Amino acid sequence: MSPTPSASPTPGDRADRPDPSGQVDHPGHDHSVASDCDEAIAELYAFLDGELDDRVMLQVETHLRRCSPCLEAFDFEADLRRVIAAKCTEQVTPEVRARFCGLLHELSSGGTDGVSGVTAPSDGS
Amino acid sequence: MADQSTFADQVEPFVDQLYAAALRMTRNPADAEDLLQETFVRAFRGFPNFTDGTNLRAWLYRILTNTFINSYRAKQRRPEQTELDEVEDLYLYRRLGGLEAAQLGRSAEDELMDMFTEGDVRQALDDLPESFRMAVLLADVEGFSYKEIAEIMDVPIGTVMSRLHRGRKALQRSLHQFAVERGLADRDPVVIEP
Repeated sequence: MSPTPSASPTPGDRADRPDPSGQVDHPGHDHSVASDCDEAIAELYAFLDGELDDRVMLQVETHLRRCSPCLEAFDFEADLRRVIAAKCTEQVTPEVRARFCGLLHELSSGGTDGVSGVTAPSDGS
Repeated sequence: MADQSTFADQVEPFVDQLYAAALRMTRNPADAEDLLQETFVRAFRGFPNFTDGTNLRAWLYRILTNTFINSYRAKQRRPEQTELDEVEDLYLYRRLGGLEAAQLGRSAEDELMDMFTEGDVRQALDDLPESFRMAVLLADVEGFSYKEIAEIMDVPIGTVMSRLHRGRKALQRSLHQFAVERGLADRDPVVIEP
């Protein structure tokens, strides 16, 4: 599929030859928008992190609406992140929680400063 | 200027997640409890300097992170390198993508949940250089924004983004290696060129 001439400059002649750097390309996809895929993927993490400004986010969303390979890649990355977070759950035992809540209350009430054993002055003293 | 008498009430909602974070940082319960105790004492002492209504969660995580870095990191044998090899974008997707096709009705997320154990993820995180691991934990497990992570780690936002980009990709490479070792993925997949 040869690229159609476009009014906007396309970086290099990337669409005409395989790129050895291994950047993503989609077989059968219109190569004249290949630079859009590269640009979208460059923004992948910022997009998933919700850190893009509105203008760029809209551009990425627009691209994803019309490029299902990119949408699939984005969805995969979002899924992977959820899986990583799910696999990182650590259990707090009731004993540990009770111990630290106790410490917090001791500190707050001035019963201890937690380390040296010197008690802080209580309110009103 | 926050009132120390309100310290317990304000901080208590964060006990569980701070303990979990301490456990992820130190990787053993005894050190995690020491770290958390020291963190709470420092937080209490610094509480008069905290402005009520501002981001208490990030403030607490900053104290936790600093305490960990100063007191515990030196004790642990951790990867020291700050340079990571460049890993390509979509590393895992390009090798595992199409998982949904593997089993009808199951999503990629389901496949990934089955493919990797908690131990895999923990190990893959632990293999990251410390500053990258910290950034990935804060973003992907704790859900902090770039700005919050920058405050917590006391680095510029650009540094946060760089550590996240490279840390996440290195994490994917480690996870792929686990999949390969289990025979769930090809070591050298055929890459489709146009």
